[in-house]
Amino acid sequence: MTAQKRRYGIGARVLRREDERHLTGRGAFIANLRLPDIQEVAFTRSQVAHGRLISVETPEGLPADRVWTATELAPLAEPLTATSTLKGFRTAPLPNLAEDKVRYVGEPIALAIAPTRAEAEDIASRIFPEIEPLPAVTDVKGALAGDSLVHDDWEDNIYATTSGDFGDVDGAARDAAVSITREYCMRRQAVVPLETRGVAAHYDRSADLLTVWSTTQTPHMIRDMIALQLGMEGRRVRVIAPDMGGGFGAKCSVYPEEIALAAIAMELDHPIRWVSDRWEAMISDTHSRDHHYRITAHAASDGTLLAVDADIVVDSGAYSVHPWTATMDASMSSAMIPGPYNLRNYRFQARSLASNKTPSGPYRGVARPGACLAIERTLDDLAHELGIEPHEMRIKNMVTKAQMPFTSVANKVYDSGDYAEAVRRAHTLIEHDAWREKQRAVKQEDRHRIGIGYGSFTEQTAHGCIEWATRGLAITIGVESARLTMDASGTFTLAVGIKSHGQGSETSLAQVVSEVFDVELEKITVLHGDTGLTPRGDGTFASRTMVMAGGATFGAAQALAEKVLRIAAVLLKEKVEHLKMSEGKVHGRKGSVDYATIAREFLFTPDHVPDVDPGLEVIYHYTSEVQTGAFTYATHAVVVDVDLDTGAVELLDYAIVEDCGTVVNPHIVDGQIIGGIAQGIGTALLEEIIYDADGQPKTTSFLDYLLPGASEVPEIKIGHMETPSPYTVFGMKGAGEGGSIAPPAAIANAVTDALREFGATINETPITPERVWTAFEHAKQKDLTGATR
Amino acid sequence: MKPVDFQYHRPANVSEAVRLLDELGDDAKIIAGGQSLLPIMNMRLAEPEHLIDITGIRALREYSETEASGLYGAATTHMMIEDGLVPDVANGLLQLAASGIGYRAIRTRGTFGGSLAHSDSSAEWPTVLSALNAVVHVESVNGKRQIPVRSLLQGFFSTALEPNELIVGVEVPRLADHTQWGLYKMARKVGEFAESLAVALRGPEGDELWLGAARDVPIRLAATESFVSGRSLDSMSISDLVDVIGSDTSSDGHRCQLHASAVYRALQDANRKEIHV
Repeated sequence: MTAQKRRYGIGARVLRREDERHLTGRGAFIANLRLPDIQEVAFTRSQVAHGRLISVETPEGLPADRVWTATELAPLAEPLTATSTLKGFRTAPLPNLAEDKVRYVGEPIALAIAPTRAEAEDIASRIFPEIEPLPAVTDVKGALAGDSLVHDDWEDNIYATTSGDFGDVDGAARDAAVSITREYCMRRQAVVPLETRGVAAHYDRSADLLTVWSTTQTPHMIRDMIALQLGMEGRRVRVIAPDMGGGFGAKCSVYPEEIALAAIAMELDHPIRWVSDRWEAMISDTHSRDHHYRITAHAASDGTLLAVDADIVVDSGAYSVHPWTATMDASMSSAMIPGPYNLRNYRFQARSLASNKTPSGPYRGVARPGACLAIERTLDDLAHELGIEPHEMRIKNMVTKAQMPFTSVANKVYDSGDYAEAVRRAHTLIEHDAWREKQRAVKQEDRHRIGIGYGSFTEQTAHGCIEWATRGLAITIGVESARLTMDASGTFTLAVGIKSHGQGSETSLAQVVSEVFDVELEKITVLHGDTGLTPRGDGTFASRTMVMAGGATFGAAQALAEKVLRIAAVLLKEKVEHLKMSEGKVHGRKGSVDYATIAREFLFTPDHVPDVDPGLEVIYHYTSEVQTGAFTYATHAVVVDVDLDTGAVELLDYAIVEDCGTVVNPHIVDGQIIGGIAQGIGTALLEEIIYDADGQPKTTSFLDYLLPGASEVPEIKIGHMETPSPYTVFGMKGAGEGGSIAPPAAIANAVTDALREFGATINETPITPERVWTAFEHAKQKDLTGATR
Repeated sequence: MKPVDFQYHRPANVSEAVRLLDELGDDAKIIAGGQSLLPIMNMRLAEPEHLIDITGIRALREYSETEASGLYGAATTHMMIEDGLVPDVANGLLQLAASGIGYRAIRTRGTFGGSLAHSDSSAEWPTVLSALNAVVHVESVNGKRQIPVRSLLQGFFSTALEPNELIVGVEVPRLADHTQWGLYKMARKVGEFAESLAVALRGPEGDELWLGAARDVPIRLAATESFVSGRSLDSMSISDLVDVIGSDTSSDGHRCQLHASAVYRALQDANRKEIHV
């Protein structure tokens, strides 16, 4: 609507407003919450991966409301049951406290309440569950064998199988010059936000209101589910998400702890709170990845990708989390394997398996890091077979700008962009040719090698409800709301249903308001994360907040602006079409009036402004125009140094060229990219939740679960392209997740490139020194056997 | 992750500390920096009834020296060594080792004596101080004694200390000026515990090689020492060391490869050092 450049509007490089309070220790996190008489909760969790829960022995001599097991809790709250419309989908109700069986180490069995957490832990340590162990299902092989069943009433360990067959894969295969089959694996990860999860709950008898504080990305969804599980009317439940130290998807599902604390608080006359410790977080926050692929791909001699056949297996853990279900990753992955490529022949089978591991849920990038690894590694191996440079292989096969909007073989609408240009720019930004020189300069006898790798992807963001429905979700998500109010001092309060938990939405959404009204951000308060204060919204996940809550904010701001202009027209005695807003005022041809005067005149003395309907408040509901969302895309390029003696991988250089459409705040987008890449480096090189054969998780502290830190993340070179989406307000596309998607693919390609002369390939993450060294040694052995033959 | 209830004591001098330790016996734990003990207590893997905090004892932060050695108070922090607030009698080896311990926040609290009493062979001090043949000074109500670090460390979390004994100082012999030292720490990330930690001392009497993180205590690599003796490093590669390191450490595969790489690189590091005359 506005052609003029706004000072704090869309595209302004303003600092995040929320940082000041966080950097000066004035944030208000759930652990900071001060409530009178609050008592603390500690859980007793299963130490056994799989077993029958025979009994739970609780300590003697305590008041009845100090210890809770399923016996006391089950009558108060229903288990969470994520349902799906996918054919053959099996539900796996998630108990709030374990009842007849335990299905993973970390499953809550009982909880204890005491004045302090330490005392609650004292009680919890005296709660003894008697468990008769059953054989644990701990890997894909065991899950598929089905000798031990995670859910007794199932005939196997498969939540659901989906499949698709598009074009003519077999026909294309017959014409192929080269066909390869590869297996890839992206191991299981924890999500690890800096702040662990927490829940507090209090039932206020005078107001008849249950208030639940939770570290959640989706406060409105949690409110709905608490009401449903407790059999209460929604009006009696308020959910508040305070300041949060990240979420990345781990705080995006409905958890048993939220339901349990809410239900128990209804029975108590004091508030209760549980704050997860790191050990609990590592085993009870939803896990992620655990993807296994078998890809067969066919290409013509000129490098044209003819067909792809994908067998996708995701180990989704013990339960199906609400509302995403255990099939989320597999179904997303199957749709994303075709990537940014002009692929017409595609076949897949995707299976989601149950195992005795922590339930899986969303994690930044959801499924796409795995899909990207699978297709991008395959593309590089095809390129190698055909003697084509990997970046040229990509450029050759990508959907072109002229083809946009493009409907992919998996029926997604790629809305806009120039995918190949991102590859070309990444190639330049990383200084490909110079690195190839350095790579060639490494001597045969040197004990290290250099490799260059690329990873390209296109990423669905901000999808609408039909998209969620096609994935089988019972709750389809696609509406965001914003309420914008001008108060009597002429300042603004924006209330949105999302929850900013590190994304800086208090800044970027205020920029949308400022784009319309041209006011300083200090004049705009952004309320979020409180169902009592904000209009309904689905929450912050799936790279949707800026597009959808931003879209809603813009809708509300436009409508409010119209009214402000009409008021100003009366006050200035000018025509509306002669007015414009800038620098906190409405300017006419003859005079101007500031927002404070407009608001005061209109709200204190409405009689001064006849013929304008009352109220300076607008609510706007946004839904997506195109249900498959706006596709962000990028190409990552990385240079690695591989130590042949130890297998250690060092990142020498890293570049990304990305297009998230119109950039609202370049600082925030760059921050999202860098943070995402850091997490992607964790996936690629460091992070792995390892289970032993009994289902015991072996990497549950930072002693053995390694996260990338400043010393593991190189300087990231960022290149932006800005192709506005035709389907969103301002042409924005989601920018939250992309950074994390391609690092595993690009780094695996780079390490493989480094080891090409030895014939070693890297098809599994994390790419640990041991895995690299073993791949290298195996290749050497194979070489030796080949030579003697 | 909160510890069980305990009683906290903060003695002002060593005699009070050892008296408390003697009275409270097995129920008490000494705490200095707490960088290993507190996580273990928070995980409730250790549940001492009493903590005796020795950081209030000024004498345990003091440094004194003779011509032959430097004596570091047991509560000397890694940071004090890293920053050169106390002299380094090992010509830079102590300083470099200190700088690799955990992160800065850990180094400002963790102590010399605490690390030895904890006895984790993948930490820096057990291996480095074994290599330097340091001696701990120990006190109890029964008197004082000295224990070489090499005999102090008996296993993972296990030492030759009696339950009522307190480490009060660590005496490190001066490294001869003609001895070249090399240190190599193999870790997945900066600041992590070592996967392999090699110290090489090359003097006129020959090479001495020590390795941490291979066994429950640091070990001297006798076979490797004789293997490398008299050979120039340039004539050897890491793969040449694998077999002999394997026999010294009873390791194989990637672990052995890491140890061989660490030892080789420690030797390289030693070769780079200038000889002080």
